[in-house]
Amino acid sequence: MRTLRISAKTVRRLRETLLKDDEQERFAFVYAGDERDLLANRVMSVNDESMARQSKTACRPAPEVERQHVSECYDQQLTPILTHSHPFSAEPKFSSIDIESMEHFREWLSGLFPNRSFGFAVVGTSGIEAVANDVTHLEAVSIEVLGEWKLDRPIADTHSRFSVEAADSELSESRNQRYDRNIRAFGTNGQRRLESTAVGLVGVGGLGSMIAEQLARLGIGELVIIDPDDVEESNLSRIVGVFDHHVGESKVTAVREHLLKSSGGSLTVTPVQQRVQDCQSKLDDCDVVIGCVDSVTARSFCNEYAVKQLQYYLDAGVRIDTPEAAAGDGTRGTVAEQDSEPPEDKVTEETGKTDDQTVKMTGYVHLVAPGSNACFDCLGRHDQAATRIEQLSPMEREAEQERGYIDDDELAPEPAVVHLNGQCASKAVSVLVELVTGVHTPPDFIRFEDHDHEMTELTTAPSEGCPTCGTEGVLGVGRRSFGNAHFKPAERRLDSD
Amino acid sequence: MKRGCAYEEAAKLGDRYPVRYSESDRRVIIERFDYPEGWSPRFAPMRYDLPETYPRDVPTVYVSGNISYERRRPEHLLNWVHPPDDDDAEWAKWCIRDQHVGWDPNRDSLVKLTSMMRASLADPHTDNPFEEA
Repeated sequence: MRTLRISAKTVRRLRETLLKDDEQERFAFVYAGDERDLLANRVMSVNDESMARQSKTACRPAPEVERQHVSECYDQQLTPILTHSHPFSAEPKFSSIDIESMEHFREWLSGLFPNRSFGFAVVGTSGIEAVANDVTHLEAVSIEVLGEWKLDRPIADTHSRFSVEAADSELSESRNQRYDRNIRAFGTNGQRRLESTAVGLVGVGGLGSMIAEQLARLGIGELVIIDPDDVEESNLSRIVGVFDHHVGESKVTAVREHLLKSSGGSLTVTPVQQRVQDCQSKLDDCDVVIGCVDSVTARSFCNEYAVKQLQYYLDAGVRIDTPEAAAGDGTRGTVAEQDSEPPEDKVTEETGKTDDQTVKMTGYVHLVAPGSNACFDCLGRHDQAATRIEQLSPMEREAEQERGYIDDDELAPEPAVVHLNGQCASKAVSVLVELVTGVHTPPDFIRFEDHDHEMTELTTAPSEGCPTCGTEGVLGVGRRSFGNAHFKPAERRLDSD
Repeated sequence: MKRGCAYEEAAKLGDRYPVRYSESDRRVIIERFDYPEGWSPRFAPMRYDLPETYPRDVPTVYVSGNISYERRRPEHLLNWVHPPDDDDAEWAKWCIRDQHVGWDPNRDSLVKLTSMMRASLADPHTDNPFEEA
């Protein structure tokens, strides 16, 4: 069965638009990305003046309004879901009149736009029912709310990507033995959920390899590990499971070898030695993506992928401020292994006054449930200066260094230590376990300081002005393609200004 | 890359110039850009390579490798830096450091970048050519 993935923000918008005190039925078009699942992008409400018919038991927009929205939706390479409300019903079902109307619509739309997808939904005070076309008929679609814990009133009978069938929740005796202590912590169902979960892990350096190790020990079912790099000698102080004889081998191969041992052979590990930007389809079957990369470009990519696909994304990173920053000796003082914390955290505190203030180590874990809490760009974590340097070709980089546009220390390796990575990895895994097992509501953002042993938990909200998940963003658009084009101006003289 | 955004901006640019847009290559070519006075020839192509993170980051700009400026070579013209697919030096990089452009993904676009490029090419020796655009 296909699923309609929908963010908490979109659910709220549907309820605000369609369920009003006068209990009239109302209509909206949900524009959705069309992957294997439908991904809700936005709600386009139809105002009362644009309705051809509206009462407490029926509603229908004017035909020209229907045509306009359906065409606009297809122009944007999205799928329309024609949605109306049953304000009188908590858990709504399509009525017999709805079913008859939908069949007429199906014939009309299929004739007008052959081979294009569409769907229908009905919204009640607590539930949503939906169907989508499947060549010759309409087929039921399950509903999944990303970040459903952000809703005041949850949607009834939703699908969770982490849930397991009751019949599947038993574990074999050997599995019970291996995971006995885990089961005592979060139950057989929690353990089974972990075993059914596929995680895409982007970056298996010092931090990523520790997360992978913990996931393997926890009994996660499948890991896709993505990293383009080979093992270097300087990695040996941090990467779990990597030893001297691995130098020169790909990181993903070396880490995989270790993970298979850690998991007792039960873990499926898919190694991908590529940049994540070049292999995004490898993440499509994952339930959660975790990013532990040292490039802002890759982080931004993972965030955008998650927002487009309505996928959970966990971004983890550490930061080490060295004393040179405070001393102002011209060297790069504020450095980070994953340097993309929110701007307010980029303020370098005065250091270097006493011995115990000379090095400041921080880490963070950022859970992105697209459209339900803040994404990477909502918090202004994108860093144009860093991405500009990252995206230069070697020749361009050399040219800019010669011109003095890039300082040598901007390209220098960043400080990194195993114990800070270990703390961050544990926090990231902790958030993942909460998300998957449901034992606690996962936090939106955790920031911790090694020096003060302080941890701060932040609640975030998506920003309407966010270029990625906001009104003009790409929430739920999927992998839509506009192809190539040749645009020509209308006949006129091209004058120079 | 926000594909819908890139496509719409290229289409808008196409209202004024003949424009070839390649989504797969993340490339926009203005086939016949009207270079400001002082450049020769006055009509030649210009190319924008869109970053993987577009529109959060500014495109890389290449001017035609066949054009020249009437006086000394502008500092921003890096005619030894070509796109990776350009073996014939058909293009030359026009250096726009991001801090000079002040690129804002919510406000700027390929149309705006083209206006800024016009200002930059019209006064190619200034240190910060985009400031007055």
